[in-house]
Amino acid sequence: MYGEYKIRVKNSRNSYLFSLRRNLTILRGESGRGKTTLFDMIHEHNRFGKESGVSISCDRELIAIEGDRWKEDIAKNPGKIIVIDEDSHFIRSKEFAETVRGSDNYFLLITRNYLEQLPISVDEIYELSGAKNKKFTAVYREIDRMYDDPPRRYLPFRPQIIITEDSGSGYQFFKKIADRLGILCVPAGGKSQIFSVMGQYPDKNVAIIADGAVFGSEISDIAAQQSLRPRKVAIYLPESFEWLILSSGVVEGIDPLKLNEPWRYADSKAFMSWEQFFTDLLEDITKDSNFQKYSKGRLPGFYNQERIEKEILSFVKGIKLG
Amino acid sequence: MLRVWFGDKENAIYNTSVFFKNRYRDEWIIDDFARNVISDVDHSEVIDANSINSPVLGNISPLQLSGGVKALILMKHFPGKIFNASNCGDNCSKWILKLGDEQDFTVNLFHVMDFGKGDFKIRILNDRKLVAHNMQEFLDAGVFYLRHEKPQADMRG
Repeated sequence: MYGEYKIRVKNSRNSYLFSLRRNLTILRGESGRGKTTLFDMIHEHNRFGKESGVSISCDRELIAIEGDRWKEDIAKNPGKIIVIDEDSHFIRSKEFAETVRGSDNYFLLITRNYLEQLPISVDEIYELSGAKNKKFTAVYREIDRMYDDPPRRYLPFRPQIIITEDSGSGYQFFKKIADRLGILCVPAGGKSQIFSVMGQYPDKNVAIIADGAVFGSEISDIAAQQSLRPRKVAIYLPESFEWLILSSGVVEGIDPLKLNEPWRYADSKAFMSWEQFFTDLLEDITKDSNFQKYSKGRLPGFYNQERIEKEILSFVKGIKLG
Repeated sequence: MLRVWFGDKENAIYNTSVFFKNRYRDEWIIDDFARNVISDVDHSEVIDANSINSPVLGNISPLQLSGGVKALILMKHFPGKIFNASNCGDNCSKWILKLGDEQDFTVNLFHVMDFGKGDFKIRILNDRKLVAHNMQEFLDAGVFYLRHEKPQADMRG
């Protein structure tokens, strides 16, 4: 499933208006704002259709799922938007993550749970705003992909330590720059380890660079740490390192629509996240080039040439790296 | 004292709404605690045991209260049971701390709830010797246990 879907769910007392454009979207926030009411309205519409008094406007059908038969219910509803409320324990299971992988569905999950196993985008975490007319409002706000809502006067941030998610190509790119600047660049060994690596540098200016397309499980705790250490932590989350390379224009041949409107192409059956989509895109357009051929594990020297580096860094506006 | 277990816990009640539906009593809805919580969290007013006035939903039954309010009422009246507090938004955290000042009870969490900027005492049951006194210590503990790590020695006490 791919595409952007505008959705309106309405009865006489509540109206919800929102859009979904990735396979996974999270709705959370304060109690008493109407999250479960949204689930219940969709559930009643599923049971009684128009007779429920609930009207739903969307190009795809919405299905509210709960209970023990969740797996069968998802399997028999391809091409639909699955909505799951916070009382459903199964969303924490590996089995659910496996079900999401390759599924021809979009999922709207109402939950605050830490879900490391799901590749949730930092941009698809919402809370409800409004009284009768409710809208989805992004929880984490960005300026040039710097999160969470950093005051402009503190940018660009001057890091003493850069923490990357792993030791792959992104780390190799930033490590060379860090070496030149005489600062540390540390691979965390996985996104779930970033917090504990941050803990080793409590008094330093720490910049975290990770893939925003899959960082949703971590952002809550990292942003909490950021607010407990004012001006000491910067969070830079491009969709992915591959997205950063593609956006900088250092490789030619990309269809700009694929870069700017990935929801039109990133089929959930083939790509569990936009991070996978952009990796596939970059690998594909560089596959015939001896010196640009991209690999996640080892960054070709082409990308660390001074001119190329400069062009890529021109897209990293919030961190001072030159 | 408030006690927290991060992650799954045997016999804990995850689906607090279903438990509330089957076990709540009329007198719980009209006591001061419920009235205050319903007013603060759900912005609604208790009329009587069966009727609550919500500015958005109109007159509702206790079964239509928010998941957070239902969980708070259960925590007060079943201190011996462990309820899933990840059904509660951060606007419930001050009420959980208040209950912790008045009685011993345990909740389990699947995320790191924001307990605000003040000092508090929360025992982390994943390691019974661990007490978090502020949000930094609580965040460190929550991140640790939700990712299946070991406790930090300097947080014991």
